[in-house]
Formats: sequence, C-alpha cells, structure tokens
Amino acid sequence: MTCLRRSLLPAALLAAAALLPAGCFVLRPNAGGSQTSAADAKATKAGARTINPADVSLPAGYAIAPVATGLTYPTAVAVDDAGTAYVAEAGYSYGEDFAPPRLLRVTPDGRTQEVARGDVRDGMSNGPWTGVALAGGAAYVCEGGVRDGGRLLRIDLRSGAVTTLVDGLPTLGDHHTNGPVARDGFLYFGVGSATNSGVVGPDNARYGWLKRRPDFHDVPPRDVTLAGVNYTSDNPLTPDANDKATTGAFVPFGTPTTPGQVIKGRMPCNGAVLRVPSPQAGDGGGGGATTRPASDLQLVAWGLRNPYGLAFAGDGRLLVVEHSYDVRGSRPAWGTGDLLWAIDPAKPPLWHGWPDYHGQDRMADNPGHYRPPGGEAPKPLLANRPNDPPAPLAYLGVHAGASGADVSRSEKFGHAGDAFVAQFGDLTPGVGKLLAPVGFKVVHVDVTTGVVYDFAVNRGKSNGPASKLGTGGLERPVACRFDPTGDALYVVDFGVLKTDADGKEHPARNTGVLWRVTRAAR
Amino acid sequence: MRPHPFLPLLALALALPACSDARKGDLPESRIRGDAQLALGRRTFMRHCHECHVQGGPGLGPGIIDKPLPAAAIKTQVRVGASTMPAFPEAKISGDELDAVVAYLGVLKREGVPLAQR
Repeated sequence: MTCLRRSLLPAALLAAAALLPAGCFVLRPNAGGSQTSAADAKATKAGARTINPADVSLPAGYAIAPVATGLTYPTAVAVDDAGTAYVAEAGYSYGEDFAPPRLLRVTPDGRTQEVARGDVRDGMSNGPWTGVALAGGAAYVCEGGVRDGGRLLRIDLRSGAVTTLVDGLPTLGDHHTNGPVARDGFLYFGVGSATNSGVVGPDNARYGWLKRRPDFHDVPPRDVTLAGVNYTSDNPLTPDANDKATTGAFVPFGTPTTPGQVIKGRMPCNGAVLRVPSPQAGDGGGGGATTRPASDLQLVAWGLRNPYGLAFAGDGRLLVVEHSYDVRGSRPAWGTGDLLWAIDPAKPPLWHGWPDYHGQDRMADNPGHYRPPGGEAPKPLLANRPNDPPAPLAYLGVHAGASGADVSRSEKFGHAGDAFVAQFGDLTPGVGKLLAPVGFKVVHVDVTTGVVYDFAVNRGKSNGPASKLGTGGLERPVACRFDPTGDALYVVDFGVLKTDADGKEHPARNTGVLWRVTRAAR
Repeated sequence: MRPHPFLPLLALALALPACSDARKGDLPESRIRGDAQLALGRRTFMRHCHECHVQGGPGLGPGIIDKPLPAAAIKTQVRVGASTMPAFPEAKISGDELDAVVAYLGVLKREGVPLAQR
C-alpha cells in the first residue's frame, strides 16, 4: 500500500487538481440562489414571507429588527434628522412587473404613508426608482427610466410635489439611473449601460426592452474608436426563427460596425457616473428646482457597466459599486466579480474599462479567465483604450449583485471608515451558472486593504435567500444606509424574486422589508 | 503507459469533497493582523480568489477550504489552472503570495468560524 501510494500520489494529485473545477462545473446543474421550478416560482404569492430576525447572523453585539414589512420592490432608504425613514419602492422589477413607484414615509410603528408616486401609463411605470437622498426638506430620487428614459426627481416632503431636475437619461435598457447622493453642492448619480458588454443582442429582447426600443444602444460620453468587431445572433425582432442579425458596439441591434469607426461621444451618456448642481434657494420653480439643460450635466467617471451603489468615504472619495458582466448575450464574459471603486470627483473623469476590461485585466488578453465554458473570451470592441483603467478598491463575488452602499462613520456602530455593501444575490441562470448561491447578505469592506467581511448573513449551513433556506431571514438586500447619527444601519430588502430554469424572473409583490441594525453599548 | 486502474477512483474520491457546499468563514481579526504572512495571504486571496470562492466557500467555483488536497496540489492548480479555473502565473501571484494564500486557507480551514453558524 505504501508503494502504491508513493507511485500514485503525484499523479493523483494532479488528476484531482485537474478534475476539481471542471468536473463539478460542467456536470453539476446551476445551484444559484434564485432558481426554482417554474411551478414554484409562479406559486409564490404576493406578501407570502416569514420574518424572523433570529435567522440573521451578525457579529457579536449587533441586533437586527424589521422596521416595515409588506413593501413592494423597495430599493432605497434615507433617514432624516428626526429619525424618520423614507423608503423608495421601485415600481418595476425584472420579470417585467410594473407597479406605481412610490416614496413612503415610515411611521414609528412601522406603518407607511405615501409621500409621492410616479405615474403608470398603459400598464408601465417609468421606474425603477432606485435611490433616495434627503436635502433641504426634499427627497431626491433617481427614476430608472424603462419607459421614458432616466430622470432625477425632486420630491417636496411636505406637499409631495414632484419636479424633474434631469430627464432624458439613456437608461431604457438593461440597467437604469441609480442613486443619487448629495455632496458639496452636487447630486451624483449612476447611469447604467444599455447592454451586458456593449453589443445589443437577443438577451435584451428577453429583458423586454429591445422590442420596445429597437434603436436603443450604449452611448459613450467621449469619442471612441471601434475595432470593428461584430457579432451575429438570432434576430428576435422578426418572426423568422432562422433570421440572423449582425451587430457591433455602441450601435442599434442589427447594425454592423467597421474598424476605425468613430462613435461620437455625447451627453447624457450611459455606463457612467454623472453629477448636476443641487438646487439652491432662489432657483426658479416649485421648491427651488427646474429641469436642467444637458449642459449642466458633468461627467465624473465612465466605462462603468452598471454603477449602482454610490457613497462618499470620509476622505471625499466617491465609492461606486459596479455590477460586473454576465454570461449572456452575444458577448458573454465569464468570472467577473462585482467591483468597488474609489473615485476622486475633483480629478478629470477616468474611463474604468467597460466594455473591454474587468478591473485592470483586458479580457481578451486573459482568455483563460474570461472565456465562458465552450465559448470565447470577449474580443476587444475598442481600437484604443481611453486610458489605463485604475485599480478597483475591492473585488466582490461573481453575480453577487452588489448594490447599495454606505460608509460607517460611527465608533459606536463600529467599523468606522468601512464601506457597507448590500448584496442583492444572484439571478442565475439568466446571468450565468453557479455552484452555490452568491450574495443575499450585507458585507463590509476595509477601504484601505480591500478585505471583505461578512456582516449580516442568513444562518444555516449554506448561503442563500431566506425563501430558499426556509427561514425568516434576509431575502435580497439591495441597499443599506446609516441614519444621520451613524449609529443605526438600515437595510432595504427587495423581497422575493425567483427565477425558473429558462432564466425568467418571477418577483413577488409585498414581500419587501426594511430592517434596522444597531449595536449594543459596549 | 496505461493508467493504474485505481487512479480514476482515487481522483474521483479526492474530487468529490470539492462539490460540497459547506461554508467556512471569518477568522478572529487579531489572528490575521498579528501574522504578516496571513495578512498577505488574505489580501492576495481577496484580490484573486474571493470572486469565485467567496470567503473560501463555493460560488462560481467550488469551496476551497473543505477539500483534503495538500498545499502542493493547491499550488499546482493555481499555477496550471484547469478548465473553468484560470491559471495564475507568477506575474499575477508571486511565489511568496501563493505560499501566503495556502497558509491563509489552511488556517481558515482549521480555525475559521462561519458567521452564519455563530
């Protein structure tokens, strides 16, 4: 036996090393957190959710409690100086479910009062409302824009009057207008890309928007020169199942591009972080706000696929959480974790790599990393990179759905200076395949080292949303925000959103929760 | 040369634990900060490994602190890659960093306490 072990061990180790990921990944079905049977997904009833704070694990000394329940697709929270929480309900969920977007005031007993709502026309809202910031007696809300394009809204908290500060943002596609955060006289917000990786494809028809907006595509803020790479795909815009279309980057579906072709940059763009001066006392319009011309928009950073979570660090840097690439569409990318960036808004705007890079890796130069199983690594779309992409501050899980963020500033709460990031959780199999659920928790990140720590996770032997674990814990944390004292962290839980084997999303209304995390005095 | 008939079985036996979904997790912070190699290992892990093996557990890739492979096999896999796992050459992860990652994973495996099970 000893002899056998000696002779076989090196080879066995190598064989095992070779077999481990390949065998598991190729042979195993998707085991992400959201997939269930179509029958189960459709059977999930609105409002059907158990809530039990004891099912959430936190570091010693912390406690979590539900503040409000029964919310429909909540995405954001902000707390005023009196301790009153305001929650935004999106009014839209993947799965093409439209409801009225709403801003709600949460009373001390957990009931909600509607402050304002967006319109629903022909069964569609212009949601999702993705964020809320409070300043000067008003709430500033980003309206995603799936129907009419993205907007930045000002809502008077006393009257509920809604004024549009910015409109016409090019977010009719996969990703939306996100944020905002207010700082030093500006409102900062993210404008997500139209596509997964720069090329409109059949996946965009599955998401619903390509058939509504067949001319929509990504828009850079600066001129870019194309490599002329095109992709041929099925054509979902015609009834012929065999019809094909060839599409390049930054152009409408079915439009090929040529090497050296220049795409003119313009504002407003997408795949970027923008800012606009905050309304000041004395500005025209109700409550000091009027719609701003596009010339008021300033570029902060670009080359960002979906800059979702925005928060300012204590040193004035803007922290941006970016959703990374999916394994879908004409140009899938594999193995790209969500990223946390630190951006200095006082410096000239930098390009951050999308659609050719992940972090500082050009994907085409690292095919072993970014090539989907059985596919090819994304070919470069740009002939020249606008600049060398900076280094991300931290790398988060692949398909984690890292979303809203805030920065702790309270020694009482702890982890002062760290970024807290809510992770929505994966949407596999529509975005790719996983061996286990990823996300569905809140983490904090040391912004000096990039080390990621779990903070609020569901109890159990495996990770996942509460509905999958059969518990009353977290479902899909989508935002977290400290109150003005910094001593309480509010966590917005979107609620139940399942997928079936075909990748179709099945959201459940009235399952959202607002949680509050506090720390006992030490 | 024909492979030994036991080799596939042995390889399979070693591969199976990688398909486990068992979770491991955080170490006491003082344990890391007091050890320069563990601190380097954790930073390197966070930069190159965490994306697919979240906190050492499964995600896009399998859990990597729940398998019986010795350090040499882990290093081979990191350097050579295999199928869906990319290779990480010296230019990406230096020898010292790889040693540190292996040390970090070893301690995480022995002493890590998942937050979810506290």
